[in-house]
Amino acid sequence: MEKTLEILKSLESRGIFKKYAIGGGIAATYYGEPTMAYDLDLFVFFPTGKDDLNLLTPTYNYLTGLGYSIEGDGILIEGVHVQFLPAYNPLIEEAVEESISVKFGSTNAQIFSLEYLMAIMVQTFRPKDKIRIENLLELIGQPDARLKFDSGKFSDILTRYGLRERWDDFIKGN
Amino acid sequence: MTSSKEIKNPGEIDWLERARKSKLAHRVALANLPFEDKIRIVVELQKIDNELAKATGRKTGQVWEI
Repeated sequence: MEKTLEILKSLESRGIFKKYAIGGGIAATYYGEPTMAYDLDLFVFFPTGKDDLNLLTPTYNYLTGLGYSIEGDGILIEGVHVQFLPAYNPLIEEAVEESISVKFGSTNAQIFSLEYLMAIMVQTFRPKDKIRIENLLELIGQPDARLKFDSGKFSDILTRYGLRERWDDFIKGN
Repeated sequence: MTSSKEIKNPGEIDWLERARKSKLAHRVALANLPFEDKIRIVVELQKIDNELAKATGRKTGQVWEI
């Protein structure tokens, strides 16, 4: 994983993409307990913009040129299946912009902050998102848990992206 | 006023409450692990899922080789 993150940093420094942030199950794992995931989901700003139909091509060409293989909907980089996803809506764009840097071994990685990760899960709202939200909420309330959550920031994100009603209904149902 | 369940079997309530607290404490301990350790656990989960998938013929993802 450390080597994978080093490769991602090199892609960024070479301008293959502008900025990335880890989301999905691995981001949920960073904040909470380990959760099942086969993909390292990367939300990415590509230099050509999100509407370019071939926006993944330079990334794929560069990585296959280094000898990494395309596997299904992603690329196997140093043993880790990485899925590149363009930051496809304003909330995700802001989440990438506001992502935080975390240490992994001797390197670091960009990851969604907990507040944005939760807001994106409210937006996508698949059954697995609801389970992850519930699990994280339970941990957030524990005094011994190390994860820090800014409820004011989260509330602001929900309001600005029209997710308030969905969140309130979800909380009422729990 | 106590519930009918508490009157019937207070020991069961205590046991369930202790189990709930213990499970939550375990989850907090897992959440507090370093990121690197959590990723090692994710890979172990992938291996378990892969074995189950093989046994049942279910399609699955690729176990990370890290």
